[in-house]
Amino acid sequence: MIANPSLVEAVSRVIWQLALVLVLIGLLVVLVLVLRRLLEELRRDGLTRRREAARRLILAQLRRSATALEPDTLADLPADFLIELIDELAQMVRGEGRARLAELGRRLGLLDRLLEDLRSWRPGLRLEAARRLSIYRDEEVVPALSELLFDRAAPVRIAAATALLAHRTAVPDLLRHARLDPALSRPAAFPFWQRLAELRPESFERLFATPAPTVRRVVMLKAAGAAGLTRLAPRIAAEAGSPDPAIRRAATTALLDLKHPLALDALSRMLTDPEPRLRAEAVMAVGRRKLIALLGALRDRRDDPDPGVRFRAEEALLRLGAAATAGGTGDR
Amino acid sequence: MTAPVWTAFLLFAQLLAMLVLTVGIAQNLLYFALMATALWAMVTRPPVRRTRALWTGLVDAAPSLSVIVPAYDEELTIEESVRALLALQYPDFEVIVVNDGSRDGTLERLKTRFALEPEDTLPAGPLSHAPCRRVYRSVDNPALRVIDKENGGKADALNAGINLAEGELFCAADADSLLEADSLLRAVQPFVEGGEETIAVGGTVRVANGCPVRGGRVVEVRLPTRFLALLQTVEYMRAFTMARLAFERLGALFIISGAFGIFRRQAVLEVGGYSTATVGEDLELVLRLHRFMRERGRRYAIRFVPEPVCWTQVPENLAALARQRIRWHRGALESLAAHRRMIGRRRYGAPGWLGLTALVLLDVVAPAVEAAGYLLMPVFWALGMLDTSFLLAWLALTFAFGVVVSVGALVLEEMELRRFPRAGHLAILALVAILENFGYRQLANLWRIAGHLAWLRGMRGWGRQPRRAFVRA
Repeated sequence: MIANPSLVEAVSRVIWQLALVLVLIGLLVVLVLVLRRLLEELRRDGLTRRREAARRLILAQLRRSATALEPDTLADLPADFLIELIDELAQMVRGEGRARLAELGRRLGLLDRLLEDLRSWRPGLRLEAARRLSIYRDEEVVPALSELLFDRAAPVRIAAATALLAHRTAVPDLLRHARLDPALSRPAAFPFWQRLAELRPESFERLFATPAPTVRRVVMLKAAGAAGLTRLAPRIAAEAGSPDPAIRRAATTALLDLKHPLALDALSRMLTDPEPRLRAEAVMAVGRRKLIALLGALRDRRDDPDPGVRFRAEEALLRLGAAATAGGTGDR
Repeated sequence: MTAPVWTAFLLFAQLLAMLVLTVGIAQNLLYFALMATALWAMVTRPPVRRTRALWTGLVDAAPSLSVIVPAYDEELTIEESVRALLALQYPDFEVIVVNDGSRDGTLERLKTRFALEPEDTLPAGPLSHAPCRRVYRSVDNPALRVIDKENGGKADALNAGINLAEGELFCAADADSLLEADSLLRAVQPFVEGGEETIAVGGTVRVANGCPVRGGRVVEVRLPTRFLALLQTVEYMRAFTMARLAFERLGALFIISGAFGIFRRQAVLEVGGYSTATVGEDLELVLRLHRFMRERGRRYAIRFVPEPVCWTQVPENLAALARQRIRWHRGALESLAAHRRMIGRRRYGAPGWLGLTALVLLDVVAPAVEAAGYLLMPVFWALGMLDTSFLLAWLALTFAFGVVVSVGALVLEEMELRRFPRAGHLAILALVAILENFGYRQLANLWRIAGHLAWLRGMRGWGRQPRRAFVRA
């Protein structure tokens, strides 16, 4: 034998015995999962009916008047189920309706449950809890969410920061934090910046005036465009002349999203940008948005040194063809 | 038999047995490591957002996207596929169907059903491909364009599509596959979160056989009725839910399925598009992207997201399945040979030293060694050259651990994704996960070896691929 026979035998024995144990464990786990599914199936029909009834009941109460929503008939439903239902309804209503849903959640003990979930070891649960807490204006929510601003998972930090925007008292600290946390400089933090621009435009403007790394600057520009912050348009237009191509592109896109007259100048400059990729994008934007005012500049791009830009220019001119001959002015 | 010959034979038997056992242990250790990593990835990932929340979050941030669908003799399924693609939930996208010189009525069907009108442009990007005859745009839906070109293969058709694409990203999809309505939104998430660094994202491919389809969408998840398709259901689950998720978490993802993958157009243009020299163009492109980025020291990310689902029809007879698997294996070997300098090299990071080493072990070494084991281990034992415990260990490594890995993938699926709606489905899949180790696994090994031989013989091309329509709801 080339190896120690007793060692080989011992290893072999360990392997097949371990295999048998693992197979048994695996089969047992599957059996448990199948049985769990069977039980769920038996419960599912009843739960679906109760969920629909609960949904109808809450919606009817929401429509009726400004009185508090009655939790009595819902108290026996599982907490997970109610948290999900209230979250779903909170996406559909605003202002007073949300406050009443929050009150209902509080009376059903869901707020405590969500605060508990913020301490879960699973980042998914922490993130969902942070997001769902945005409708609760209770005092204990602010410190709990603020703690999450230092969570090890970046998406959880972003969700907590976005939820905290609903609490006016938390905003000053939050803005200081936003300057320091690299998670809030990522493209994934777009919802945070958009919500900040919508809810606290003055704070957004103050932050916009301070220097920021390129990625955050790009996200803020997109957020300003998406949130319709028209009064920032002159400053955004200034960014369209930035030495950084990503910022130039984001600024022009933001101006186009704002449908601001300055967008035409920015797009016109982008048509002659030193970066071929930006010129190609500008050409496509002119074609897609049917900006007849830039027809001359677009025609010039047919002689662009870059073949991709030339191709896109021909395509954009084709798109503009009908509008140009009809004398249309597109969406401007 | 004389004593020296017998001794030599005995030595050979023992050496081979040790090799079979060592490779078996390495293979199973790797599987268990992947399973543990996939489990860790599943439980620590952010929660799956509902489609509406996803739309709200991405509607302003999602980059423009072109869905490119190469079509070759797809008359049976093309209309349904294109309608489903046009109805995808995404803020800014176009669909480019590339009719790759079909011999059937694919183009005619597209022309009549989508009111196509010829345009004066032709794809003019930097990628080379077979000559294009014409580009059409749909009058009914201007987001649909069709390139009619001479046959050049799937990679060639994709290159033509990339040249014409307007999107910042492009999605390579198969004409005989069905994307879930929110699949683009889900797959684009990493591009939005990771910014310019994210250059490619893959999603899960699942078996559509047996699932009723309406309007190009799978309306109910069911199991296939044919046993062969059931076996492939478990196989796909193992490959996507377990292996790809684990490799992605380890930063070593080396393949994005050709049936559904999203790429940053600029990055693919920089590496020269799809290679027409291999039938494994999906694997080859991802390897080339890794290589290009690593050799230039650029920061990049290639991601996998389990939720965006693409449904595909799998072969239901052995001959078609054998052809497909032999082609896949040949493609893998062609790609490995083209990028052999990446294998096991730290310079190429986790994809090189881990991803490709694992691929070589699981797809190249293990099938041959395992096949040798099937042939020789029982013989050696019968001749008294091996201990019974040794034989039992080999059987355990080959069959019992195989069952554990398949069942483990099923458990992962059930714990986190739960795509199969009924308890009965789970029970059937558990049974199939056990049975696949007795017969099907050996057949799959045989096809890998055949693929190996086909590669050594220098075989080229895709071979015949029969098309079937989806089951209508």
